[in-house]
Amino acid sequence: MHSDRASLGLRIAALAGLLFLHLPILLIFLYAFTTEEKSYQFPPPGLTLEWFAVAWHRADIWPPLWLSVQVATIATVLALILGTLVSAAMAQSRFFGREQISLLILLPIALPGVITGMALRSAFSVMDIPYSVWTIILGHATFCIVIVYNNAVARFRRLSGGILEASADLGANAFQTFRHVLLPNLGSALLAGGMLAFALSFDEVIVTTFTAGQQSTLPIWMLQELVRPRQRPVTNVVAIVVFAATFLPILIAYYLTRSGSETAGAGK
Amino acid sequence: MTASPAILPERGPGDRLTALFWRRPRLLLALLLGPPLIWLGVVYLGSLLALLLQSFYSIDEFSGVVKEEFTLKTYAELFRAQNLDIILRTLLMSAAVTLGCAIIAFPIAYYAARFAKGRWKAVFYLGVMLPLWSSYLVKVYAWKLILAKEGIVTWVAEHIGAGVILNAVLALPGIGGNSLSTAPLGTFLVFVYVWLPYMILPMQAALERVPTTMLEASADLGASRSQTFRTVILPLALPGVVAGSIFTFSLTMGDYIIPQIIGTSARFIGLAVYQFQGTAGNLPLAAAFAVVPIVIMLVYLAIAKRMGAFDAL
Amino acid sequence: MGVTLPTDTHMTAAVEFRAVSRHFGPPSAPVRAVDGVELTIAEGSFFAMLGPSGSGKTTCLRLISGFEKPTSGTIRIFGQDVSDVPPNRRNVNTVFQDYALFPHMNVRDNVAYGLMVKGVDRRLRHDKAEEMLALVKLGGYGDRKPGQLSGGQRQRVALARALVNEPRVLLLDEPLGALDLKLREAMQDELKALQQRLGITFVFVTHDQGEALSMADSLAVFNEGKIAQIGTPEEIYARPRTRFVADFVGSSNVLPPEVTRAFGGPAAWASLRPEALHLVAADGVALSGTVTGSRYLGAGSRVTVAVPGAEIAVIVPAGAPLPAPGSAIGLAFAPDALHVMEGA
Repeated sequence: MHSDRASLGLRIAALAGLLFLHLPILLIFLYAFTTEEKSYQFPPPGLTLEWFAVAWHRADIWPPLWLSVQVATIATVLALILGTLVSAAMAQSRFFGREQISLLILLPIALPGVITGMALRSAFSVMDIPYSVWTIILGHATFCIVIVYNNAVARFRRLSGGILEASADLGANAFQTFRHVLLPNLGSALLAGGMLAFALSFDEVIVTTFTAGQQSTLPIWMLQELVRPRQRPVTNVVAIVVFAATFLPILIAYYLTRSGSETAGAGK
Repeated sequence: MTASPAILPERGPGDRLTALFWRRPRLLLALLLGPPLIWLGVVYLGSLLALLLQSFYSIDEFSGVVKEEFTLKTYAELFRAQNLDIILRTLLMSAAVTLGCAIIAFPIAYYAARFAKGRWKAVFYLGVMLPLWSSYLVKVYAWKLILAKEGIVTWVAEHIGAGVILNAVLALPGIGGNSLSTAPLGTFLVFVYVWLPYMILPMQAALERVPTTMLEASADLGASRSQTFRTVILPLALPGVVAGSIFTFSLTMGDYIIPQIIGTSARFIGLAVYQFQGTAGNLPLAAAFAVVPIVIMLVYLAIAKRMGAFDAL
Repeated sequence: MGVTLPTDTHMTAAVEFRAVSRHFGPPSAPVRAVDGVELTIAEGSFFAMLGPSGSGKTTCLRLISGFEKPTSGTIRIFGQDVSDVPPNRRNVNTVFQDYALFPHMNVRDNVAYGLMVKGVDRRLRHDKAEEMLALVKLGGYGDRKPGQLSGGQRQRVALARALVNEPRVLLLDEPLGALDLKLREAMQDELKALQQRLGITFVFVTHDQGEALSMADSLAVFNEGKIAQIGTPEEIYARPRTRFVADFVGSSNVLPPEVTRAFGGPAAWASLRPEALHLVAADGVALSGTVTGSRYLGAGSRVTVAVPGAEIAVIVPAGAPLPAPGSAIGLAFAPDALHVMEGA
């Protein structure tokens, strides 16, 4: 007989799977308080708060943090503009080449990051473009477009297409329809998309190493610490900051879009 | 009541532009599509072209300068024994990771799709989504802490008396090593962990599309639970597995951070690309190496498409 | 009502279609959604466009509102060619099939929307919206969101929202389709009363022939992008021009030429309404057949009789005796009830 309750084995396996996904991250928090700075000894010999103060005063952390914020902000704004435009076009009409365009939007995130990174690196080399904040932003905005696009296009699909026509029917011109009908209905999806794009950009390291040259974003700084550790608990403190910068946006994005059938993030 | 006009007057530039867009819908479409297409076309496709171009250049072995003339020499280099090794090792790891992900993902996806209701549905959703979106580096870093010789895995193993087993596993040739954080097994574990959500989501989507009535029909027809599972659920979940495997395979193949931080530092394709373009300064070979995953993924996608995996995305 | 009603607008047609076609798809293999339609809708009338789905009636409605543009031909609204006029400048409003209420606005703001985009100030437009809500019997619902309303209430909001602009023509796209039977009948009466009270031209799209016949002053029956017949409900019901109309409107008996001849008419296709026939004793009449079945309809029964070449339906009023299946029965009807149609 088929029953509506899961078997004990399945329940244990599912729960164990979820725990497997979450427990490792908790360790990051624990190790930020350890008194042992030379190894990853478990259990920590003692607990201390001093690493937060140490991290705060480390001069080498602030410039990468600032660069990451800068890059993520500008990339998000660019992705919001480009992603909204393309989703509006896709929602508005059927036209020749739709499939190809949606593939093109998806490609930067579907292909491994190393390819996008290497491709950009090749282009910079072929065209003699020097590394700058903008070379990083170029890559980030490219793979963030799809995040905004996915959120916006799902919302467009849910919106009854009739409401835009209804607005025009009642006498509104295109700009009034945009302001009074489209934007209020699209707003939370765009905000969610922007949040996710910011999180993705803030945390990105694979493409960035190819487009940053000698510059250091916060993830690159972390990567260097991982390869050649110095004060290990300080890395943990930074890891908590990076974690929060990606965790909070996805949580907010979830609450912004959970009422709909489309929920944010499914398309990373 | 006096009759209002049948046609309302035009009020300002907003109305004029609206009329223009209405008369020429293609114009509006072009205005909307223009900027994103130019961006993606120039920045992204342009870069991919540059990558392809670069891969047909070669490097002068004496001066180390890139010779900008067409040659297949760089591609020929891919077939050297040590480079073929890299490609094979990458493929093997990608396949193993995909399999590992599929096995661990299934119960989670199945439970979330079939049994989780209301509050638990949200728990499962966030439970998968949060690790998916949390910082990649932080996750990798967490595993460095876990797998370190003095870390929690060793500690737990010793406290439950499984230290012997751990050492026996680590002594296995090919997958073992000094500690888990320097063993291929460690690399595998971290890969599975990091890409697991990418397998769960499409699998869950595919399973959610199996109508409950179909399972009841199967039970009605006298199928036992395990028969229903084998003959109905698994085949229907397969497109989801294939869709998920596109991600796990592709992501493993292109990653160069995890093998660098955890494992034997044996090279994978991603790491080879990274090192050739960086320290070695051999851009053409790095580019040629980057073309390999593209080709493999194209083949993979073609197969996946025939198995109907795109419906589960 | 003002006394100085301009006589010329009084006489002009509200909507005119002159050789209007709307084709979709590639010009080499076009889908002819609307194909050479000629149509004149009189001002102040309640006009129905009736037809099966895909017959072009909704496309015609969208051509009037401006959401579709004709591939060829001319559309005039109150005598003015609207080829160049976008939807927002046509003084024509629509009640959409799925109502298309703005989900982020409350009912009052939904209704006041048309006034807001015209720049009417807040107080005035809210007063006007409340007035309209009262008109559709939704006074006091202004603060609710569309999501909190029932299907019938949403339909009324959509109606109020369209009427607040005082349009010259109101377009209704299957507005009652989503309502249950009882509500639908009540709304039919209300719509009709509203139209008579406001004197606005209503153009109503439906696939429900009962609805079209009972509400419209005149109607057009659409088939495959063309108008099969246009006329008053009585004309269309009693004298369908083609087999399609006879089949689609009501449940007429459609007789092939040889049966028509046997029934005393010329050798042509004809229609004969089931309620125009009555059953008589089999012996001594010119027409007889065998009863094949009967179905109870409430107000009467529908008896089917097999005659050579056709099966004829007859409505027997409630209370009259029903013949047993298999028995022989005679058929009688007034000669003018047999309506000969054009073409095949």
